[in-house]
Amino acid sequence: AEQLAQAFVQQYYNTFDQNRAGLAGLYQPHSKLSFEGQLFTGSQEIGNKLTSLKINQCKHEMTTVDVQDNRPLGAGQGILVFVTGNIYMDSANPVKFAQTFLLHEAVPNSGQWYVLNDIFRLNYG
Amino acid sequence: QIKNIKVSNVEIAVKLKMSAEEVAKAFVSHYYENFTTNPSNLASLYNDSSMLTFEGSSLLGAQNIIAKYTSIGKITFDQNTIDVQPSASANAICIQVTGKLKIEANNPMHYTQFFQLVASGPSQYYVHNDIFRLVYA
Repeated sequence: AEQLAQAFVQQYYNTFDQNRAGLAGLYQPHSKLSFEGQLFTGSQEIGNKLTSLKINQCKHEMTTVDVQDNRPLGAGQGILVFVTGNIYMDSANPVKFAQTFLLHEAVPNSGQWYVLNDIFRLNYG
Repeated sequence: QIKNIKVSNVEIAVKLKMSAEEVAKAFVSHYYENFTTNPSNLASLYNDSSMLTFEGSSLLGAQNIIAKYTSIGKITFDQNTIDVQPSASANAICIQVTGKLKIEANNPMHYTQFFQLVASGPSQYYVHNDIFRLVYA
């Protein structure tokens, strides 16, 4: 679970930083994103929100990545990934962020993981 | 409309059905208040399947978790943001908290914490997942 989670978040942030249009594909129709307190549901809504962010250059830098395997809760219950780090947006100073992902497999044991729950917060001050 | 909210152990008694948001806010308030005044009170919120990852170290089960929490010293918390989302199964709630804390007389520090609450019965929740991180400047 640990390796999978690390690989997934690395791919997620690479996609975010280099090709935000590609993020929609990491979500499904019932996925949820809380972005700075606003809730979005479904890959289309979420994709639209993320691509509409007014950031030209973006870089996520992970400081910590914690993983908990959620599967003991029952079949298909997924993997929890909790990230803290810094985000560089255009020429601004880096801002701390905290993000939680609950990863799920679209089809059990398919190896195809998507983001079911996503909670993102910037930490100022 | 009257809501009778009594937070004792894991039971939240309601007259009207509480939304995930309301359950989460009641939980967070109860959790941090007890963490500060008497962390051993948190024991009823966890069971044998609960997992805590605290500053990168993982612990399983209420006993180990409470042992960790009672070993830190007095912490006061100041939550800044609480985000709530229903989780994968209908009876689970994801909560992400950011804020500041003070350990004993030390300077305030930023922290962030994630909880997944899972229903163990009608309107009864336990903490299945708990992930805690200090955020250094």
